Amino acid sequence: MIELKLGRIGMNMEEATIKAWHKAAGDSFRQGEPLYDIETEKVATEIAAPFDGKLLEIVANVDDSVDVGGVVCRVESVASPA
Amino acid sequence: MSPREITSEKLLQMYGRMFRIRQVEERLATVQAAGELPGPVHLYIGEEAIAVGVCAHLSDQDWICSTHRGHGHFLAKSDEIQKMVAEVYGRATGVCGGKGGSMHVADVSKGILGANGIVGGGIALAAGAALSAQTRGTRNVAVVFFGDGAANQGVLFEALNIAALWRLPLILVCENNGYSEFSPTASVTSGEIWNRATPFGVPGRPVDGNDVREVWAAAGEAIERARSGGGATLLEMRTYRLRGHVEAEKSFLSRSYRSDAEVEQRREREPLRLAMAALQGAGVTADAIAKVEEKERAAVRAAFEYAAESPWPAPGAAFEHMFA
Repeated sequence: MIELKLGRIGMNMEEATIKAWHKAAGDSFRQGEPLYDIETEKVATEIAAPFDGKLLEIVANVDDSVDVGGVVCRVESVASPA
Repeated sequence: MSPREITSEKLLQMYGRMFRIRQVEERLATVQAAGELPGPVHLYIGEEAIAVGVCAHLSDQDWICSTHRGHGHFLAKSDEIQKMVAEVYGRATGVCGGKGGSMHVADVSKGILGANGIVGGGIALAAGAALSAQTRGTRNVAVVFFGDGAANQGVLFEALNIAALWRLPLILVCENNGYSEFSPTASVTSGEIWNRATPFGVPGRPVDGNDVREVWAAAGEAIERARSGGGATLLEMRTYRLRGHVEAEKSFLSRSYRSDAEVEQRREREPLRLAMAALQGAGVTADAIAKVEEKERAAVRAAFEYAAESPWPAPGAAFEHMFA
């Protein structure tokens, strides 16, 4: 099990609001596929999956505010080649 | 020096180091996307031949100054993978105690004066290091890596002037990756970067920065001249950055500044691929190459485990190392 955390995508970003989920618990995803949308003070953007995997649990739901480094969801990775 | 002088052992050694850097950077891309890193990261993927081909000629007593894209330079000059990765993770076990992060990896004991968040910030520091080496009567040199964007900073011309006047053992290595952040280099930089040395009487030349053999040969010649009192050289390494300027850039750029097709096309001449072809041409067996790759993979995997498990710096550490 791997926790995906909210990354800092802008130098001054401290938090973001989850605007949408593109996957539900139990869904599989491929690297680069949109997982969820966020909105910060400056941008609204999609967050892509960092690797191939499966979504186990959504921790931050739509309209939840998450601090940078906060856990957004729990996933498992499918056979990483490296 | 000619690229033909490289032994197959040396080539395999340099390939291994380039492979190590690529492994570290690819893993950093993944953990950055997973939100594990406290700050922005600028990856060196596609430019590995430059750091490795240059640093192959340097000892711990020679200095390098690096850029915001500095992981490759650090890893080419130092064997301390764990300490560097832990630094990028911001952990207490990092080479700067976790307080420098990606853009400030430094290790003076290895001659690494540091990555630098200031564009062109390393150029004057390296000129000073070269002056120190000369004043102390050593045969050591200073190398500064800087980007094509930094070639437009006035400090480059100041450094060229003083390096020429005082015949400083300084090697100026411009990594021209085609884009100054998000601007095509040709749209912000006039003329040829290597040719900016000419008015100062400093030798300058363009080099195929994706071919580690060419980098090794050009750097070797420049470094040998500097060691024997012949002064500075400007090398313009022509390369291509295969990742973005900064990770996650697509999330804040309103439109893209280059096409995916362009990146794919440039991948055909990427440095690991060229080095692999050279190894095969030199008769190095697939087995020998695989053995090196496996060793590097394991070392990098261990470094990431070490970093992820390392403690954060103690809050009180924020007040240490503030004054020299």
